[in-house]
Amino acid sequence: MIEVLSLMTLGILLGYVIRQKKKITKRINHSIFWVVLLLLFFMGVSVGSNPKIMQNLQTIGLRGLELALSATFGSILLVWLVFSVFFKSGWPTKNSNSPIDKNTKSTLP
Amino acid sequence: MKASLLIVLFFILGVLVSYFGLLPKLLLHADINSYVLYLLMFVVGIGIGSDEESLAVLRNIKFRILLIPITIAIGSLAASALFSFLVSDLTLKESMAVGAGFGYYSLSSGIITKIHSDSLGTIALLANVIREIFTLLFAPLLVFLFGKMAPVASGGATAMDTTLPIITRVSGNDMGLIAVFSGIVLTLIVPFLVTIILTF
Repeated sequence: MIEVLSLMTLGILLGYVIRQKKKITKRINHSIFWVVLLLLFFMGVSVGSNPKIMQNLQTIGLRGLELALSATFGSILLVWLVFSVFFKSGWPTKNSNSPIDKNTKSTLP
Repeated sequence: MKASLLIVLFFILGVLVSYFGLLPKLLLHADINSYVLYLLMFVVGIGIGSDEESLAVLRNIKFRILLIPITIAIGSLAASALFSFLVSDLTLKESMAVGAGFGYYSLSSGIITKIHSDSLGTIALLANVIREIFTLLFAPLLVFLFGKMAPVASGGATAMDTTLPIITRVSGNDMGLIAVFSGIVLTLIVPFLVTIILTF
């Protein structure tokens, strides 16, 4: 799995080097969506040709739904517990304690 | 939402064409999956490295704000771990690896398929797509029940892009900034966390 992480790190370094060349980086960012489509298509291909999965689609779908709800509610409940109960009074959401400085604000939708 | 549905559609299309034997054998046996995943990791890396806004956001980390994505991550991992004790067909590691996607379905399911199995990769794809769609659909209800931070928690890694519009609408613009920050941090740790969980 080292190859996957090192490719990503290499990409980050290269991206940082060419970050001023907006035309190229913009094109690469648009290409990500197409690469994702390609990846998902070929993942589908290997799933479709795997009889073990195709016979267990119901279980797999159910586990996907159950894990989605577990992870999502795990995050929601822990955040609720930590930030509404423990930090009840002083959680900063006003400008004074904004995590991001002012000049990046304008770029957000 | 349109984009994630299109992506799921492509996955289903892939399943159908190979299930009904419509693809040449070459495409089935070649290790195409891995190469496309490598390509994806590489372009995602370039996207991250060249994204000056994200870099600016990360440079301004304050520890208190970092607590938000950390709490979101621990919540997902702990609940996924607990879930694995309820069923017999998922191990602790498998369950946590799926939970560690935080909604970032393309990368997490690709990595899980590569280092674990097709079936767990499919579960990860479904679980994380469902997390995104759930957030898009129920963000208003979540704010009502659990407060302004709930949609940020629910969106996980997607809070920086696909679920950001709904979060700012239901939680307000000040929460939007926290959402972007939290989403960026979670997005960055997904590939590492998933790999570490399944490898060790």
